[in-house]
Amino acid sequence: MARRPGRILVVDDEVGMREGCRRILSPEGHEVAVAESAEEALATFVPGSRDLALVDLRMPGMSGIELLAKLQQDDPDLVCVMITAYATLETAVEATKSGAYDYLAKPFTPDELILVVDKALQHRWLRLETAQLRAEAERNLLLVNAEQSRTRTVIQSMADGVLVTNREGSVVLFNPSLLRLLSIKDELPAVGQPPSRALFPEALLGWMEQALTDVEATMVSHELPGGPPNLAANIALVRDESGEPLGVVTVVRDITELKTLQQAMSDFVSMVAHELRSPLGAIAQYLDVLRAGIVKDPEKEQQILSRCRERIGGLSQLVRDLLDFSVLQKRGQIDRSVAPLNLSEVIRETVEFLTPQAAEKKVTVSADLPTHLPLVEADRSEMSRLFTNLVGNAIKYNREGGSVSVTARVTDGYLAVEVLDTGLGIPRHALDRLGEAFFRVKTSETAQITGTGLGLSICKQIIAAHDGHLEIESEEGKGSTFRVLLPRQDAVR
Amino acid sequence: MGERKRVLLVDDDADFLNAVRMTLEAAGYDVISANTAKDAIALLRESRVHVAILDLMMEEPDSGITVAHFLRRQPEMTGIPVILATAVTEKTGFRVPMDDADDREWLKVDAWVDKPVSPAVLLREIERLSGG
Repeated sequence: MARRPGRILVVDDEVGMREGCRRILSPEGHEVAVAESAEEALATFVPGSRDLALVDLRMPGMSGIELLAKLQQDDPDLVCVMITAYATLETAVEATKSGAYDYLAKPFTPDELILVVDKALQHRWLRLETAQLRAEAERNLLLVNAEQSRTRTVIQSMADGVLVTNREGSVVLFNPSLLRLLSIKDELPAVGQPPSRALFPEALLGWMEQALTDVEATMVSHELPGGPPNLAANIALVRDESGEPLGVVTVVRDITELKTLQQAMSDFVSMVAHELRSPLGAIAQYLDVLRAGIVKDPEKEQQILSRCRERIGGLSQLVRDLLDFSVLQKRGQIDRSVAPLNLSEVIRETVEFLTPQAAEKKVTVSADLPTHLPLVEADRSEMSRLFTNLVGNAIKYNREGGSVSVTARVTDGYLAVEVLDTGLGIPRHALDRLGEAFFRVKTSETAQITGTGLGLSICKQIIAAHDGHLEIESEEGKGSTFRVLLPRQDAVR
Repeated sequence: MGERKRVLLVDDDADFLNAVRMTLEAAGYDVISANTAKDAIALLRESRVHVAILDLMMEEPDSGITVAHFLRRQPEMTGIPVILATAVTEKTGFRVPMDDADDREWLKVDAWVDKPVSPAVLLREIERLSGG
């Protein structure tokens, strides 16, 4: 170890000794402080500020041995050398027993002092280094512990179930989510034992076993039979550095929501297919009739063609509704351009726009709105779509000579807009299903009316996106009232 | 020319019904029609028909089958041939073998035709099943 200067404290009641030591050690590069008594040394001592203490064994007042004990209590790594008047075996033993590293007998030559000091400092440096290494090792150990506890915490708090088994197929580890997902309640899996067939699905155990024997596959995914909840298991073989199998990590995940979405999507697609097929079938059937030359009456031929045209119009509407539907599904609140809106303007425009269509069906449409309507926070184009659909339906499902009226009034916290018709009304059994995508009321009266079954579903989505409500009252044969409740801007908290 | 044969047509699509009706009427059949299984059963109770053409899917997925089963449960109607018109077969590959008598018995259906149905095929099936 390199020789380097130290910070030395000399404690001696003889001024000659103190100054002698300073004169010998300072030129060596050491920093020397002195004290003339044990009491003075203790009063000024700061732990860590000295590398070595040279202490006179016999001093008036507190002895060197007592001082040494106190100093080392304050600073365990401080190295002490005892200076004794007589180099006897007893004093050497006494000094060493009291914790001194070495002793020096008076009188001594400068070289003897330098040698002892150097040796003691070497010891000091070694001690410091050992302490540092020990501290580092402790810190490392702490890190290892923290890492383990972190991993454990992560596994314990995962929403997915985790089961780890070793090469022999015995349980090593599992987390609470595993128990929850597999409904393991009363009896816990035993660590160190193979997973019990009473607790774990047979299929899962089979896949885990297979993972250990089938060394080709590194990870397999399976869906567990049964449910809900619908569960999927990822089973991965874990190997050591030489590629030997160590065990199997099984992660069990709840995929109920995914399955529900998949089912909803598949239902939606088959409903769309059905909705496309009906009008296409009708058009094709009409065209076959025309081609077969069965129809001789030109007026009847015209009727067929206009029905075909109408069904094609219905298909176009379906495509438009589907696009709207998908936009509404994708749209978050952020994409909506919501602003304070006066609905009376939107409703008047809607009524105006639909009046020709109503006249064709010999239905009258009117809007009776108060001059001052409270504003609502809404997307203008969606509100326009909403009332076009509602008023359009009220016209479509009406009779000759019937009427549609739109009114608005202020209720507790809401603006209520009512679309009232004197139309066909809705059968009681159909009321609950109204607004389901593609659901249409089918009676002999509605058979001729083209519709997509998406309009009201779109309305419901728009209303829900605006934190509103839709209420429907209807009496079959008399008519229906569709009441839209939208939060008033002046009532929004 | 003897008595005009009466065909019951059941489909929830009014235009499809109308088109098939035109085809059948032009071929000399008397046609009565309904949009729903319920209306069809009501019609069957009040008038005698020679052939029934049913859509498989109406307001309920198996309404065609519902009507067919009703027909088979009425002793005086068991002989009425049933043609099931459906668009299901093409897409789903759901095809029922019609050669086996047991299969025919289980389905209570005598023939399947795909929608849209060619007027020639439909008329040929009606001829065959109603005995010319």
